[in-house]
Amino acid sequence: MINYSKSLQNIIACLSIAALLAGCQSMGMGVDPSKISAVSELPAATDRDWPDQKQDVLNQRARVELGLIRSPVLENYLNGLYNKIKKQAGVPNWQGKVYIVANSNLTAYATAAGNIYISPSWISTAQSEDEIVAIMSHEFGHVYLHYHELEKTKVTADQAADWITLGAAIAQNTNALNGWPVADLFATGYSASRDIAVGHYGSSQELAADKFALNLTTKMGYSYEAGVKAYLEHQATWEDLNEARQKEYEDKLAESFTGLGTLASIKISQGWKYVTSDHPKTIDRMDAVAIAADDVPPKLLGKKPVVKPFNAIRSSGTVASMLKSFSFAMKGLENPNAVDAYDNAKKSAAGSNNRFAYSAIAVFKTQLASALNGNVGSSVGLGRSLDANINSEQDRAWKVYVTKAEFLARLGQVPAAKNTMDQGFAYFSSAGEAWPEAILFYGQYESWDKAKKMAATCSKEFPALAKACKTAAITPAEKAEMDRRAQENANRLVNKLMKKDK
Amino acid sequence: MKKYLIASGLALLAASAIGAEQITSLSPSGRTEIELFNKAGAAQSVKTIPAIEISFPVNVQASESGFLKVNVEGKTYWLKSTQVRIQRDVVASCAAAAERAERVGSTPGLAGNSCK
Repeated sequence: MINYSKSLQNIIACLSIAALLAGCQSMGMGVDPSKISAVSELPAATDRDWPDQKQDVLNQRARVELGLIRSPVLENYLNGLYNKIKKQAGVPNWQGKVYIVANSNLTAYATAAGNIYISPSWISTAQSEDEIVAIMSHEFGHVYLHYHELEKTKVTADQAADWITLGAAIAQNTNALNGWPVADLFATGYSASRDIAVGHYGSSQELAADKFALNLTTKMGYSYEAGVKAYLEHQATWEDLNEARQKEYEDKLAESFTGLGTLASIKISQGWKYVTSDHPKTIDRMDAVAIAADDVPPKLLGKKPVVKPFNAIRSSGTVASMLKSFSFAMKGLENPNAVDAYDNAKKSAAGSNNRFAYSAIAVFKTQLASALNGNVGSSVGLGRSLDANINSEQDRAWKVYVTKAEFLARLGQVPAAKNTMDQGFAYFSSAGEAWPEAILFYGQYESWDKAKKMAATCSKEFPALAKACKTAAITPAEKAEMDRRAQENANRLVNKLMKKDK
Repeated sequence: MKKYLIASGLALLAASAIGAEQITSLSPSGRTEIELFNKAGAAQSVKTIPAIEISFPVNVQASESGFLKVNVEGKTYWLKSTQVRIQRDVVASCAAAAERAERVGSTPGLAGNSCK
C-alpha cells in the first residue's frame, strides 16, 4: 500500500511558509527586491515569454466592473511617457501600453503583458508630469523586475494544494491515513500560509518598485519631490481619508447590538487583511524612499516639476470632457437613490461619452433606482443606455452584457436575456474573468449540467479562476446541502464545547 | 517643553474639503529635527527645531525650488520639502472602486485598495 501519510507530509512541507519564501528565487519570483537601489545601475532585464497584450486588454475589460476608458489623446500622451521610461531602463522595444481603467479609487497597476492601467482619479489628482511618470515607473518596475512570477507561483501552489487536499480526502476515506487531519483543515492551513507568505514577499516587491521608480525618474530628469514623494503623499492622504470614513462607519455600527456583531467580523477580517497584505503601510514606504533619496545626488532631487504639458492634456477637449463625465457618473453611482443621481448620470452620458461603460451603467442603475422609487417616467427606455456601450466595439465591457442579461431575465424575457449573454460571451470567452458570471447565468437560465461542463473547461483553461468557476456551477440544491452540513458541523462543535465546559 | 507655535490648520480628514497643503510630520518618521532657512534654496540653515517641539499640522504658505515657506512664531522661514511629509489634495471616491482583484493575475496596484 502506498504510504500516503509520508508523501503527503513531504509535499505539504514544501508548501509551508518557510519553503515558499526560501524557494522564492528558485520557483521564479523575479529579481530579489533587496538588490534594488535608488542610484546604482539597474539589474539586467530578464528574457521572458510575453503574454499577448491585446488579450490582456480584453481581460481587463472583462475584469473591471466599469471597463476601460478609451481616450486616444490621453493614451498617446501617456504612451509617449511610457516609451521614455522604457528607453531609460534600456528596453525601448519591450511591449506594453498605457490604458485608463474606470475606477474611482486611486488605482494604478501593471500586468505581465507589460500594460499599465491607471484610473482617471490619478490623472485628476497628480500635480505634474513628474508624478505621473513616477507612478508609471513604479508599475513598470513590477514588469521589469519580473514580479508577476509571484502570482504564477501562487496559482501553481494552489493547484498542487488542490491535489493534496483531494489525496488526503481519498486516503482518509480508505483509512490510509491514521490520525491525519481532515482535508478541509489542510486546505485552510495551506491557504493561510500562502496568503501570509505571498503578502510578505509582495510587500518587499512594492518597496523595490518604489526605489526602482526613484532610480529611473531622477535619472530621467524628473523631480523626486514632485514625483515619487508626491504620489506616496497623495496615497497616504487618501488612506487617511478612508480610515476616517471607515471609523465613522464602525462608530455607527457600535451604537447597536446587531451592529456590534458586524463590527466584530469586520475587525477579524481587517486583522487578517493586515497580516496578509501585499502592500506595506504607505508611511513605511515613504520612510524607505526618503532614506533611499539621501543617496541620490542633490542636483537630481530638486528639479523643477513639469506641469504645463500635463495640464494642457488634462484640459484638452476630449480628455477634459471624459474626466468631467466620469466625475458625474461617480456622483450618480455613489448613491443611486439620491434625488439628483439620475440627472448626474445623464450628464455623464452626454455626447459621445455615452459609449463608455461607466456612463452606461451609471444611467442604468440610477434610472432603475428612480423608477423603483416611484418615478414612473424614469422607466421609459430603461436598459437602453447599455446598448450604447455594447454597440461600440472598442469600449464594450463584459459587465454591461451581464447587467443587461440579468435585467432582461428578471423581467421574464429569458430568450432575449440568453441572446445577450450568448453575444457577450462569444466576444469575451477568451477572457477567464468572464466565465464565472456566464456559468452562473447559464446554470440559472439554461441548465446546471451545462454550467458544470463550462466550469470544468474553465478550470482547465484558466487555473487561477478554477475556484470561482466551480463555485458558480454549484446548484441551489447543492448549496442548500452544503449550508445544512456547515450548520450541522457548527452545532456539533458547539455541543462538544458545551459538554467539555460542563 | 516648548511647543513652537507654527501656524496650523484644522484636522485633515474632511473628504472633499482639503484645501491648502499642510505638513503633517517629518520625513522619514525617525527624523529628530528640522532645519529652517532664511530663503528658498539657501545652503545654510539658520535654525534647527527638535521634532517633538513642533505642533502638526503646519500650513504651507508657498513652495519654491524644493523648499516650503512656513510661519514659526510670527517669523517666516523656509524648510526643505524632502524633510517633511505633506498632505495633498486627492480627487477620488469609493463610488466605483470595486474590482474582482482577488481572482486576477495582475500585479497588485500602486497601493492596496483603500476603499474597504
